[in-house]
Amino acid sequence: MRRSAVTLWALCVVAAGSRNAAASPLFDLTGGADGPGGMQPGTIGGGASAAYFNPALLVDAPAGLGVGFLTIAEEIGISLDGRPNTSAAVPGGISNAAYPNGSPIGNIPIPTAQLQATHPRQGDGSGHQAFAYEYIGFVARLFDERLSLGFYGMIPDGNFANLTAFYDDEREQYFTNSLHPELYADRLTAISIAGGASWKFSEALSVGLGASLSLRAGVGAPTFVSNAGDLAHLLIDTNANVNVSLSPNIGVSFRPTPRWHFTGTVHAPEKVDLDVNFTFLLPSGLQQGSSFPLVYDYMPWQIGAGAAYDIVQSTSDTLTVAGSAVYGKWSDYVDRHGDAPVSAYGWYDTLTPTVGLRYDHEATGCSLDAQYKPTPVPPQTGRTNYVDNNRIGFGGGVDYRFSMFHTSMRVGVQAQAYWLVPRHQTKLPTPAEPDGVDHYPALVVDEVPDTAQVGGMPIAGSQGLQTNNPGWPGFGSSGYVLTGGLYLTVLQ
Amino acid sequence: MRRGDFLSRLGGRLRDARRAARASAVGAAGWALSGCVVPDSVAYGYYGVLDDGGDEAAPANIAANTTPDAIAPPSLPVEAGTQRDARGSVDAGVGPTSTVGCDLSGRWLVVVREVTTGLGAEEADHEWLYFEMAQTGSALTVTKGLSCGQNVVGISAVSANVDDPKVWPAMLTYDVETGRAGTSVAMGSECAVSFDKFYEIVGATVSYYQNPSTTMPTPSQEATSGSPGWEDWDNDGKPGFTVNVTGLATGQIYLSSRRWNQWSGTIPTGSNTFTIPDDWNIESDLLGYNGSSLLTETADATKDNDASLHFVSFARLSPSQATGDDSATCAAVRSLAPTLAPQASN
Repeated sequence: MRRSAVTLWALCVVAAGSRNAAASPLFDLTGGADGPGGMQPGTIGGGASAAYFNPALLVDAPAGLGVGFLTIAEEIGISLDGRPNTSAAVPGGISNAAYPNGSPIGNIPIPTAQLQATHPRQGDGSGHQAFAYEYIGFVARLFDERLSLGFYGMIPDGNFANLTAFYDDEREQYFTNSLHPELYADRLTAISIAGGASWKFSEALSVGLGASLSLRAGVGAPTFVSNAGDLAHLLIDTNANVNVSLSPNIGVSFRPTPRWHFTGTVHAPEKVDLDVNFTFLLPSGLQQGSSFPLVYDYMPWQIGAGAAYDIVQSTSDTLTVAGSAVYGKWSDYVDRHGDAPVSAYGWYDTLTPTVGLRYDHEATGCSLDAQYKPTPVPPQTGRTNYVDNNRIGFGGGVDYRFSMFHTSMRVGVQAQAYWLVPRHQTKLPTPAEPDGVDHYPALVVDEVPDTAQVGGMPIAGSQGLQTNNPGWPGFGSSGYVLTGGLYLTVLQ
Repeated sequence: MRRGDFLSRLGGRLRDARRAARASAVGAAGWALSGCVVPDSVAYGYYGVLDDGGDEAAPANIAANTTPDAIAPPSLPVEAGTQRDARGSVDAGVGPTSTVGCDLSGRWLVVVREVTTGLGAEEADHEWLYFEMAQTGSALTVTKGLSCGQNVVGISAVSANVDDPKVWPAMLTYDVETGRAGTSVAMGSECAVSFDKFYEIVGATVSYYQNPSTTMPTPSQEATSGSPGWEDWDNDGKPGFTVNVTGLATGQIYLSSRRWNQWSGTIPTGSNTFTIPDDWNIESDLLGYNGSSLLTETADATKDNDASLHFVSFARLSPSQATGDDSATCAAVRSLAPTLAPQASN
């Protein structure tokens, strides 16, 4: 049995390493929304959500079928500093700008005034949304209750999965010209389906293995352009494929004494991959193509440990104090365009501590948690504009067990409130680069190099920094995220 | 009852309950957040000058495109979510050319007339506006609202005249009334017309001081990239905007101002010109002056108590009137005002 489990675990790890992985940032925010797990679902079991957070805790979850709904509201404000003068504005008439040797200067920026008139800065942010979800979960027991199986899925109302990519630097000028919360927004509709199994070796020790569902999709779009000036009449085929895969997680639960309870979890990285390929065929027979990856809902390696102690244990009352910590290897992060943050602004690994209480009195239970989640994002004083904040959260819940029509049930309500601690960052000045070469790629890019020309003539207003980076000369962020929901479990 | 039947019925009831509860929960979350809204915002800033000549302008024109603010129309702060016109051409064919019933859709010249008194003198303040309006049912929306400038004319024997044309381009850019809402409802042979309250800021950070709970800036509070304050809208190196005063006293005063107005009244159905009462007030913020100290009294002028002196006149524009880009449209509005809205232009 042990050899089989190890083999299965190894296969799952290989699967994760093959870039087919799952995505559950939604679970990360909602916690154990189907029971007393609250913000410490990897330490306190009690619901089918253990299938994701710590499958070893499935042995603590009552067997049965659970349903419920949940809502999340994000209110994340992003404040952009004013541009201090016009010298940094991209001038007009530079569509054909090039270096003196005739080589292109790269992505031609849009004249700043024109950009502001058509796509005003922060005119299309994504930090103010509300979502609703339904969830379903079940737990079953087999083999004299030594084996527990669990399933947990959370389905957003509306779009099943919303995958929205944006650039975190000056390239976003071509799209929303806005900054976006890096770890919220579309990540709150991540595909969130998980299953797990737990084997109880003894009353003290159980080990679980779980996996979450993922997608890896590819989209090809061969295109024939009969007239480049009339793109409304191009011909296009599509070739799309979607693969499903699993991302593993493992957990252990150990009760050395009746009062002490220790847990450990490991989650493999999770993400949704989308490969986009397109080709353009012109009437001349010339064909060009390109492909690029998109990565959504990335979650890094996460290793968690927790401990709980029953301060009070009686026939009618139990008071438990619990604490846990999760290490997240966010230094491996890749953004939605598949880019890792540059080393000068590499993300931090984080340690997220949570403490809380659980109190059970006869048929009623309640939970209370507090959490501090440091941001993995360093101050964005350079080219990139990853928006994230340190986060302080409080959560609570109440559940009640009762019997109706000879059927045992549990109904509960839970909620979390997260405060994103205000943060502000000012961009570092980009030193002058009179030779037209970008010597400071980690800093805000001079999009119109000083040596750029049009028609062999210098460009007026090109001296010094010109940028349309929407985060320049600085920005701040703060806000709230609220979650809450109801659940009902019909017990076996 | 078998357990299967029970679970089946329970499932059905749960679905109904979930639908109702889900809607309630989303609403509750929205309600909960409404008390702690953290909106996106963009501080005052400079974005350069729009290139009317097109992006492909020859290099010789590029220098003109980057003309320093001192002689160019002011560069503009644009707030997230607001609609700013890019000075594109006005479609002279927008909307109907005559009013049918109470439908006020179409293009309008608007002149606001407000009378102030100070030191026994009376002055009439005029503001010229250009509106494109759309109407659905009784709901009226200004789909394009341009502020074309203002002046003050003495109307008593002893009074002051005030002129500030250098601030007009900034008003055109900053004081956009696009999105202003109103209603036009049939009442027998008349229409009850109203427009929501609108705050207009001149010479200060619009996005901040449009909030009426804020205090207008002091002379030392110049706007910076990180904080609101007065702004030199006419680029003359003086705070706020400069008002040239002649008559009772002569000199310049430097102001920023916050004015609100709200219009409502009844008009005959089918009106192509009409006038309705104007409820308004203004906070004039004196930032300095050059000349006699009597000039400061001009800034302290208050709203005249006679409500009949305050009104706004609308005149429907023909397709050939007030066309071109925004600057040309406004120039036409100012020149047409005495003819199309003579009562409000006095």
